[in-house]
Amino acid sequence: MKIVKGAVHIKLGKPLYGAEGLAAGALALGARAQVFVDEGKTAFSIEIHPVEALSSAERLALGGEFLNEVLNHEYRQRVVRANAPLTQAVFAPLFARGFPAVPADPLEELEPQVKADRAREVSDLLEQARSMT
Amino acid sequence: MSRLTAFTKPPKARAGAAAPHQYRLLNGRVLITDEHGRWAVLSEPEYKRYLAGLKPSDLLWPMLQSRGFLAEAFDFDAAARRQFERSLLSWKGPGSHILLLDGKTGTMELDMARRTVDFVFRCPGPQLTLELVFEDAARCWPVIWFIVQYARRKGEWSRRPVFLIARGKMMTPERTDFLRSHGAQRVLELDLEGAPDMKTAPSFAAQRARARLRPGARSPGEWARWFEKWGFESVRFVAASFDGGAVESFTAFYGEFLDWLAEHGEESRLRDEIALSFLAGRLWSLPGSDVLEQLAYDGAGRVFTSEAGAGGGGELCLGDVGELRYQDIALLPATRAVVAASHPDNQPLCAQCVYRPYCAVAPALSRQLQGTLWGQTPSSSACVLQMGLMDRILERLPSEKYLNLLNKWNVDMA
Repeated sequence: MKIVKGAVHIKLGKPLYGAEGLAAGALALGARAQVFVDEGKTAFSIEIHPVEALSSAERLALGGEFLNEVLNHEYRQRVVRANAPLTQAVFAPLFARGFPAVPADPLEELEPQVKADRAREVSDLLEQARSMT
Repeated sequence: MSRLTAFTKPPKARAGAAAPHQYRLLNGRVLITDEHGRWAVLSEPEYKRYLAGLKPSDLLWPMLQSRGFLAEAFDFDAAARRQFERSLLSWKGPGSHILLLDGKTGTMELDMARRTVDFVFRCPGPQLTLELVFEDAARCWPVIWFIVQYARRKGEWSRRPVFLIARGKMMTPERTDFLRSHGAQRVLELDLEGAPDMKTAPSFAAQRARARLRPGARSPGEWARWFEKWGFESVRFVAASFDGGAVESFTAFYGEFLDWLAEHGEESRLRDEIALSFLAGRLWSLPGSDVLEQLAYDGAGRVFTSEAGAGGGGELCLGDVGELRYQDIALLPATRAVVAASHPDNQPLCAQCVYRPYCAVAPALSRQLQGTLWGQTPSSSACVLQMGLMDRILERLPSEKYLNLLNKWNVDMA
């Protein structure tokens, strides 16, 4: 990592690093910097241009943050792939069945009077609460 | 940079001897945990012996066998049962609902309170906890009064246990009495700075304290005595700041607080909620509480993934209680993102962390602190704090005093 004309220059080798990881790194910097990527045969060349004026140390910190996220992303993808059979076994049924809500109260459904009595009770409670304001 | 620990010379392991576990070097000893939070603390020679393969005549065998750490004597049926009971495979719904009654979006209106309680009761699960959070009890009182009454009735009508908590800073004795008579727990929110003045009473009579630890807080023993003197049953410390220095002083303060509790365990009834929630209260072996354990609602009736999620810029808003259907939450991208980010098997360092069964670093908190739901674990101050607190608890566990204390709190450490 080096600073050239105010921009942070980084070179990352392929295939260890991929475009998705670089995108994750750029997202982590958000609106604080513009990130330009040039893809070569064996490596990516990255230029990070901070939007605001920063000291050299701050520029390096920004580059470090980018690198952290890229590395984190790449490593996470490996971990995710390695653990996929386990996590899929847990998550797939959860999302497949969705989050079923509690069905409507059968007593209220079967006995309209119960529903009406309860509605009146709630309405009384609301009245009492309003009188406190 | 990693906060995980490793042997400089890894011990030799015999295949098929040890059951799956994570380890951590802690004060010259080796802490091991399994997927479900069962633990053992071994000396280094014991750990090496364990990895090399124990004989049934070994003194360690019965303890490690009963806790499920021996591959040769592994109870697969019990492990399958445990996995089903304590994982998302048997998840019913979020049990904790945080109602933020006042704040950025103003005070919750009564009609909105009713819609919010209705929404909460659409969530399945054997028990519902409604935690009412407020700054100004006087302004929020009609809403608090209504929610307590309405939730109690909804609980009776649906025959579901409802646990009510009122968390704030100030309350009159009449209001405290009302809450007590309706079975609502009172939680005092306070900032801990310096040492306590023993003569100064808390602003209202509460059973529990949620103490925001400021970096200047000192004399943990004095604070413990203060909580004890004013009738608190338990205290939960939370970080007022996640700056490096603040995190270190938090863990140091907490360690001394634990020492005081262990020292006065027999006569004191004060309990530490951090240790309790990590070791006894976690149903799901997943870190954090977004969606899976908790939903939060603000004054405008917006639903968030958690209380931490409500503190962000609205990215973790799931919808509005008037329009959002509970069953649609699973379909939302925000839900899928936080649930995926919650799973330690999707996180590089978390996958190997010894504290993964106890972890409570919510994705929403990582989002707040680091701008990413996944968190950057090596530089995450929330992770530093979490691991620091767990170190303070678990490095004390082999001591009989702490085990007695946890026994007294009904924590099953086996």
